[in-house]
Amino acid sequence: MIAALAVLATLRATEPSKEDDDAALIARHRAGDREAFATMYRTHAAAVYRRLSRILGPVPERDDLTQDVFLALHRALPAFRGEARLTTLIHRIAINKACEHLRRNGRRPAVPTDSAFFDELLSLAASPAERASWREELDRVFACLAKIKPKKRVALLLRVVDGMSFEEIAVLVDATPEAVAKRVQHGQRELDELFARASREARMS
Amino acid sequence: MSRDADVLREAAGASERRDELVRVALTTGDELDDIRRSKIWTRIEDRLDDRAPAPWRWLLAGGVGALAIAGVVMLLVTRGHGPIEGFVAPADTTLTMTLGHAKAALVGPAKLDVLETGDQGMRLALRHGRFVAEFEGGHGRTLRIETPGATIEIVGTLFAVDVHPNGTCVSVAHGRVRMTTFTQVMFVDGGHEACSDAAAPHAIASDVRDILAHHEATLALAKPAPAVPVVAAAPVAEPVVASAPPPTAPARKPSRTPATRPAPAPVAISEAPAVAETPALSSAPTKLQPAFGDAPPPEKPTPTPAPPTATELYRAAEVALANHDTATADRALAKIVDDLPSSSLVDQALYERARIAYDRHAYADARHHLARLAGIPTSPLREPGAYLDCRVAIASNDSTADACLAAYRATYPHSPHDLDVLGLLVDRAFRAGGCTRAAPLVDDLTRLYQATTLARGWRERCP
Repeated sequence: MIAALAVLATLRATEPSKEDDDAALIARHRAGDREAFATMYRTHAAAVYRRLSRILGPVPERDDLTQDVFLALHRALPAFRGEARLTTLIHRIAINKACEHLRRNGRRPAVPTDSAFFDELLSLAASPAERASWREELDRVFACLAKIKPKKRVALLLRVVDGMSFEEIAVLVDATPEAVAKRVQHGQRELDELFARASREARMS
Repeated sequence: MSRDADVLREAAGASERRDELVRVALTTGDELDDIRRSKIWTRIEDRLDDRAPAPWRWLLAGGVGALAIAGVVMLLVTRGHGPIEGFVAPADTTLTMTLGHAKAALVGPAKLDVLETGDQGMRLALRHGRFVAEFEGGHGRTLRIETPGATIEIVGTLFAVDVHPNGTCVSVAHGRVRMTTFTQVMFVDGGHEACSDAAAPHAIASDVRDILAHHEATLALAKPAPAVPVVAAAPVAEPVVASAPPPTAPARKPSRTPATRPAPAPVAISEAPAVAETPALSSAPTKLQPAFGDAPPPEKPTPTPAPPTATELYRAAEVALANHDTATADRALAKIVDDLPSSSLVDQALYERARIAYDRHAYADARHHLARLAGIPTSPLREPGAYLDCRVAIASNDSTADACLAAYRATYPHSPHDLDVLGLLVDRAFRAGGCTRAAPLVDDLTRLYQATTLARGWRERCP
């Protein structure tokens, strides 16, 4: 039992494949049933938050952006004709919001690596020196990612962090799989160069 | 050839390591907890109500607006609202003052209004310029500063607030400050500053750090009179001492760059004529203490500290939980539940108490808290509470666990825990009667969550 619970605890809830339920929910929402939208939120909020986190990192604005995603969804639903799954629509909105946020922030890394989010991770370090080194590496990750353009960054992270195929990413970012493949390739090359440069600078300082 | 292969292997290794680092960095803290989920929903619900009014409502809104304007005018005429006290610091002048529990300096050109005072704290409005202060915190005591683009709440710290044409910046020397703008809430810790037009706090600029250090040193040298809370019935404000920097002090220029602060001027404390603006409209007189070192403090007994508010208790619990001090957290949460039963944080406190009890295997306590939570019909935490109740039932080997899980699914068919709950039901059915008994639930799992590892795993085990 404990093992089963442990397995469950490590599993991340994935988006349910409930097209029928989604259609019914949207119909209820259009008919003015407020509980329908609350249900959409309950079902998808965690996934939206996770999507934003995996593009932006643990930035403090995630709560506000999650709120913005659902407000945008609320505005979009009256015109939604079921041309995509509800999950896809929601994730597209989330990705757009994340891109807007990245554009607003410019090239500044906005992730505070001294925040409590990383405490648990850094507590695994064997020594204070190792902890400091890990923190430096995390800082470097966010600093390098901040220098990659939003579209490339999104494609790259959906590929690297979520392991999505080019086709799956293409659906979410409204591009062709070929364009996505190029973005990922360029993003990877830029990230490699930025990492190499940052590592050189760190060694020299 | 072999060397090339080594280089390639090394490059591939570096690439894998980089990808792994990116994965770790971006998946840390990506889970949305129940409390945060509920808080975000509450904010969404509020905004969903802000719908465009129907045409006939414009007339109603216009009428209400006209009445409101008339009301405000009446209030101003009858001196009901408006600042209790106002201060203007001309250019190249610094006013030093004691405002309740804050020892402060207003660096000119600047304008500050005192909007509210009381034992619980003080509300100020910084219209423009820089305000530097050391606020002595205490139970239930807060200082709130309103600026054109932000609201800053201080519990106890040395800090500076700058209002300039591009927005507001707050710099914190030590302690913690909360800054609320139109779009976000930021917590600014010691050594950091946040600006209303920036996405996140950043390290404090060295010039501002110098100003704060200078202010702190000046306060220490001045040996200020002990801060006495503002007493509403006391006479109208006494004049403050104004001080001016040396004539050579450079004038500040507002910055044009977003998220940056104006070029600072040193805070020089030297005697100069008083420039306190005492408005005629002062209906609720307050006593502003004379500047430190200038006059002895009035001999008034320090009142008993006010009890902490629910927000402060909850914040204390959050801090304790972050430090893994669950006993302190539980005590703070218990005070919310027991001493402040009408607080809107009671349901969150009950839920957190239940989680703490669950973690320390005190299942009876957990159930007690969850039963109370279930009795709050409007709480958005009833759903996660019901889920936790089932986990408690399972952990305590309660025979009602299956019924609890089934009832949960029936009540909350679209809950974010549905996959977990269904997985638990499958596992329990399988243990009780193998695949025969688990089959209908495995069918459900496969139908609803076919893409998940869990569904695939059970389908393989019970084809």
